[in-house]
Amino acid sequence: MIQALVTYLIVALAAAWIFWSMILPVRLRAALRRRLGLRMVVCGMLDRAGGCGGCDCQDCPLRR
Amino acid sequence: MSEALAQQLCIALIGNPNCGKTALFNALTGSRQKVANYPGVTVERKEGIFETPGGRRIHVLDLPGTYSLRARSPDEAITRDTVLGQLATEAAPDLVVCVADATNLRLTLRLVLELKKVGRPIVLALNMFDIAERRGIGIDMDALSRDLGIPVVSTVAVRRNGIAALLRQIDRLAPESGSNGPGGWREPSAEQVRSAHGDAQRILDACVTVPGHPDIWTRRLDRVVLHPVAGILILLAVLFLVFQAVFVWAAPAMELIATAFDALAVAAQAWLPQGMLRSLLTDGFISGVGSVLVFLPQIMILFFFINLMEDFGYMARAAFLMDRVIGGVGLHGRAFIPLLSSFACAVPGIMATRVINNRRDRLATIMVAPLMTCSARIPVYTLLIAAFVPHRSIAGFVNLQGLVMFGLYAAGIVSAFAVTFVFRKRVWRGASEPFIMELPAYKLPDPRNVLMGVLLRARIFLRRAGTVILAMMILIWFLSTVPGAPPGATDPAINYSFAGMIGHAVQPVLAPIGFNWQIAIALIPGMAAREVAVAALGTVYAVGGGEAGALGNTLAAHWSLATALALLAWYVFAPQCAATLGVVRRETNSWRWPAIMFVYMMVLAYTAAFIVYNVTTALGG
Repeated sequence: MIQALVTYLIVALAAAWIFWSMILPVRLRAALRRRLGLRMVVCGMLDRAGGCGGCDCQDCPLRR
Repeated sequence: MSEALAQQLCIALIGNPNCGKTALFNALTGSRQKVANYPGVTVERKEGIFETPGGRRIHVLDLPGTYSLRARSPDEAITRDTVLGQLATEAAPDLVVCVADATNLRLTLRLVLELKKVGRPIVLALNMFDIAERRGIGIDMDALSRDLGIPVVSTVAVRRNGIAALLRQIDRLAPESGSNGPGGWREPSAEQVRSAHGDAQRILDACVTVPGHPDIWTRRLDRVVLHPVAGILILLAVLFLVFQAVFVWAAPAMELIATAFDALAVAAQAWLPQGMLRSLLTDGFISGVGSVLVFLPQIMILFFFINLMEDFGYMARAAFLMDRVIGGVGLHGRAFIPLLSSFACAVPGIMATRVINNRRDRLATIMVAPLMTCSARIPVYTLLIAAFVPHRSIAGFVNLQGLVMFGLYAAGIVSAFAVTFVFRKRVWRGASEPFIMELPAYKLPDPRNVLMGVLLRARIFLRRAGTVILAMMILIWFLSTVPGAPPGATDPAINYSFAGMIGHAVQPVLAPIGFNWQIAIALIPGMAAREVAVAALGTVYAVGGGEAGALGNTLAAHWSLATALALLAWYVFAPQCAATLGVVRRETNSWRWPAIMFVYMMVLAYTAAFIVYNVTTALGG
């Protein structure tokens, strides 16, 4: 029972992460971050520049 | 712009491309910098903050490289507008630091003469001064300062030499408060440009002495390396050797990683009781992520060679050699660097096409950049090659697996040329602009630079494995496990899962190219990133009862050679990367081009896989 609970929790976290970082459009994500008062981790200039487009290549300097 | 920012003094770093401007920016700001894009355009904007010995807080901009204020590309236009104070979102600089490559001053002097007309305080930083001294180039800095009418300092940015002198000059010249109005430069006439050339040459003659036979080794090497026939043959031989090394050198490290993951799976099975969590850990985490991580040594070796060649000065030669080839199919010479970047990842490669001024040339490059073999394809290629191509030598020294890998890279390049040729004949007719570039002198590679580049690539790969791939594998494991098999079921449980249902639904479309339903499942998350497909296969076969930790053996047992080769052909062309399509949308500001790219690449992938599968089957494979 505990194994199943932990497993479903991990799966839910992974699904939420995929939705947040890969499916949600970058502008919407930025707006939500602002609304939640979170730091702009993708890019400090996101509100002015739009960031890197939210891609996931990991090569973008904006994601470092 | 914030009030705090407005109170700081603003300086701009400007200079020719590859003069060490960014190295100087890093030396000045350390980690206090951030990168973004200029609003409305995809030109990178780097800003940082530092304090001078005089206690002044300076806001510094690292502007895109340019040879002149007469801008010809979006990057150069940003530089010009920033220096002139014409950019709405950017404060005009209070002071300009012009960075010059001390080994090649002619073009910078012309830029300095243009900058003087803007009317802002200027400091000229002669960077790479150590290399100039080693080559016997004599620069009379006092005379240069006198002739130009501006202070001149020497720097070696990568070693932080000369930074103190530069900061003293900034302290001396920067106004007490921001007094930066619009600049007074105007587009010069042809006569004025010629006059500026003459002035730059006169100052150069008066202040710089170059030894009679500069850099004899560079000239001797170039005579061979840039030879129209021998040069191309050398380039092909170098690339061939690199791919041989990727396979041969990486093998022991790959075996070590695979053994470690096997041991981890055994330990997890012994430690955890039978249940969902154990299945997630062994089939999802270890089989999925482990099957991708095993390719880390190959990626590190490939980028070791790429960084080595770049540091040595060979990459620019390769661009020069390739210009004749890519120019023949209708690509601009400047396309070489974006295409080369695409071997790492198409996203930065496509972003790098901003250096191409002509829109047709730029679009042609963007459309074929994803055909270059990016590092995400390496895990797919190496998995299938190792599983289906015999590990033996041809003629005693050519590794067959390395040869196939070389062939796949070549297939990507050749198809990119063919597609460009068709696009330029059918869609974008007209001649390309001529390609002009400077070849740097050869130099011994700096081991630190090479190592840093390899570690950066490894870090990117590991981060991907720990984020995108891990999250995807958890989801794939879940879809492959739930719902479980009904009571009395005889088939493997995965057949009744959501993943099984999706795979079986998609499989009929892929049956003509020899793909089974497990491949169909793997291709779906593979849209996020190509290498995810490998991890997905690892999870799907592990959940389905395959041998954990030895995905290659499992595939060899379940697939025909025709299926494996068809999948390789598919991966040469398939547009399996959402990030690439996203960046094409952003760079072209339209959905039309990513849609065209998706359709043409998908048609190519399906056709190639269909031909390969049916031909191989007919030949008995």
